[in-house]
Amino acid sequence: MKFTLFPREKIIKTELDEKLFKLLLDSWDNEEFIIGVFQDLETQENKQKLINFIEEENETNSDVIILAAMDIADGIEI
Amino acid sequence: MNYINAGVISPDEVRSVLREDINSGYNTLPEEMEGEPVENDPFADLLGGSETPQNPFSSDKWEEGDPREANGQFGEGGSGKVEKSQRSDKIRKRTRKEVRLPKDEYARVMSEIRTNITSEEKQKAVFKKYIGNARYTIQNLEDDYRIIGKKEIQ
Repeated sequence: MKFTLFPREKIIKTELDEKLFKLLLDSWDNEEFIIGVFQDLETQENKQKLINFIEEENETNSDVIILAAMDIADGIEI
Repeated sequence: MNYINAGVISPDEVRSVLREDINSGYNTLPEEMEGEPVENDPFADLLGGSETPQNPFSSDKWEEGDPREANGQFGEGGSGKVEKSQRSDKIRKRTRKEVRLPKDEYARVMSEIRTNITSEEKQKAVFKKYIGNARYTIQNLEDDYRIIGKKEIQ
């Protein structure tokens, strides 16, 4: 995936970010989807919650992942 | 029979009388009934018979082929997968408030979506778009679009 909206290093900074990036890429190779989810989550804790959800549920549907990220960012238990 | 039920006479006494009466039609009966239960429990049939005096509804016994695990709960299988999909369904079905945009911004965003939506995005129920200085989360209703999230880009 090419980073055109933001530089890669501004989005992917840690190993956790790298892990989430790969999971999102498996779901949908779309820059706005991936960067949008990263920016919605903001914190490492939120990113870990989404990783847990994707791995526990084997979730690959980008619709569900976008909504789950929004819920996590809003503090809703998923 | 009413005397037997009332406990005035016993079934054995009736049996004995019938055996001794040559006109009763039962005078060839043996002295004792074969396989006669020791106690005549009127509820025995309901509780599974006198040989197995156990309530058929109280069985906690785990048997071969029983889908339950040792702790009595149902294990991995179809039901587990249903639970997992239910978690995703719950997220998918949660009611999302529509973000109310100022009229001009709404017109600009809708125009941008309709003009630049990709064939992949058309297949999605939810997608994201970076428009101007904000990122929008858009619900795709096939003929229409509903904005369910907006964040200013910092």
